[in-house]
Amino acid sequence: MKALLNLNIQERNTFAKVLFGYFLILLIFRFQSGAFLIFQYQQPIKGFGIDWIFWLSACSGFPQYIIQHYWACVVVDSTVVILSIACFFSTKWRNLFCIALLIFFFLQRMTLETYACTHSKSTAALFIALLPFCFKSEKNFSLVSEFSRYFLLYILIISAFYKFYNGALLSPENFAVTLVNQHSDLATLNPQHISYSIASVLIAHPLYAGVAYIVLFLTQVIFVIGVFTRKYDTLLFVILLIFAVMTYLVMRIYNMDITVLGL
Amino acid sequence: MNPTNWYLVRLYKQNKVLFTFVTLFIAFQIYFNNKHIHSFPFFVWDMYSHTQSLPDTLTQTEVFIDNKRIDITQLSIWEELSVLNTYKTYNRLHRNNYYDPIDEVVRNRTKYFPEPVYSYVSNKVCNQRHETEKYAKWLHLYLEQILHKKIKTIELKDVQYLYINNHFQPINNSCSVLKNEQ
Repeated sequence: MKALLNLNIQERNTFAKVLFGYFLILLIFRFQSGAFLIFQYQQPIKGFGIDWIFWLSACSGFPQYIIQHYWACVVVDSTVVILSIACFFSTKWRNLFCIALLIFFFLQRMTLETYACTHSKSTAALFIALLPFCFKSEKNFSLVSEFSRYFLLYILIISAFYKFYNGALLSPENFAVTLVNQHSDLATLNPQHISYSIASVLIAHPLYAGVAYIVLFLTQVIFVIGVFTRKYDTLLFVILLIFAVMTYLVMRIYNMDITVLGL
Repeated sequence: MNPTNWYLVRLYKQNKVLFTFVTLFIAFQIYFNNKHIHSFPFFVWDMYSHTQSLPDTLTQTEVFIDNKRIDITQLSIWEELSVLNTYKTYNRLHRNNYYDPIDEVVRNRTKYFPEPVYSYVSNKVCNQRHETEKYAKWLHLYLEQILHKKIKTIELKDVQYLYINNHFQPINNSCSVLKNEQ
């Protein structure tokens, strides 16, 4: 987005408004989707998995405490929203608000994902995207922004690499099978859904599915360019947006969190 | 391609503390990638990169509200995942006589520590029977909340399907795993 709006990284305030504006839209979407603590209140089953950070959270006891107390759910949820708004408007105290936002967002996501038994990788992208705003000095802000940019490049390039390394790219019919497994719920309950309508064409024609998978691979591998130059960042951002929209339409995967790193 | 322009070199020159954090981050990322363990925020970004095969039969969870099957895909993705994943965890515990298999991982990870450490971590991380038994009632209330209506009965069934000629055909051996009436 910085590239798209022709923003210099020093035009930090405009960049902050774009990023926190987008973050607020994501929060509205999350609230509307029921991904707030108040909707998960008193869910009794824990799903910490084998994730070390989730275990440390479990041992501290905060997820168990928050989910059992409605007022705690309300406080954490509303603090995340209030701090996001504060980060949007405040220039002077933005770094302090952002540090507090990261802490409360961490409490919210750890508790929510534990008690929904769902661990989302893309949440990491949100944390890394917000990180630069925790720094007041221009120099540190620029350095951490650059780290966020490399992190996004890493996600996409390593994902492309694994498609080759794990063999899926070399098995042309595999994507059609993946779609059958991915959309079994839609196939039996809601075959009219747009994702299933698109997927069923690919399932019926495995060759098309194979080509679509190669296009997906190329969409990710093209981000290698970003390691060497910033010249094509605008193009890469547009590709990232197309990637996020297409993965929703074809796979019914929500990738808008990762897109935040491209802003 | 001048090495002095490389990010890590510039970072080292400009801020050694940040350089240490970024280097540690990279080291942890490499470690977890090699171990193939997902640990926030060091995930293995290998989505949809493995070859998959079509199973002969596929088990699907179906939700019945007042004896009528609902289309769970009409819920938001988060709500659908929330219902299905918590239910899957409940089902696994229920079938396992309320023993949480994560307990074995706790035992393994705390083997070099005194016994009280294991007990503490196990108590915090593993699901206990009294917690699991509350699930059906919670799910009932949750479904009432997200469907915006009063519900008398909820029932979750595992239904098996055969995949023939690009279509799923139900086999008549569905089994009811969870039922709650109010």
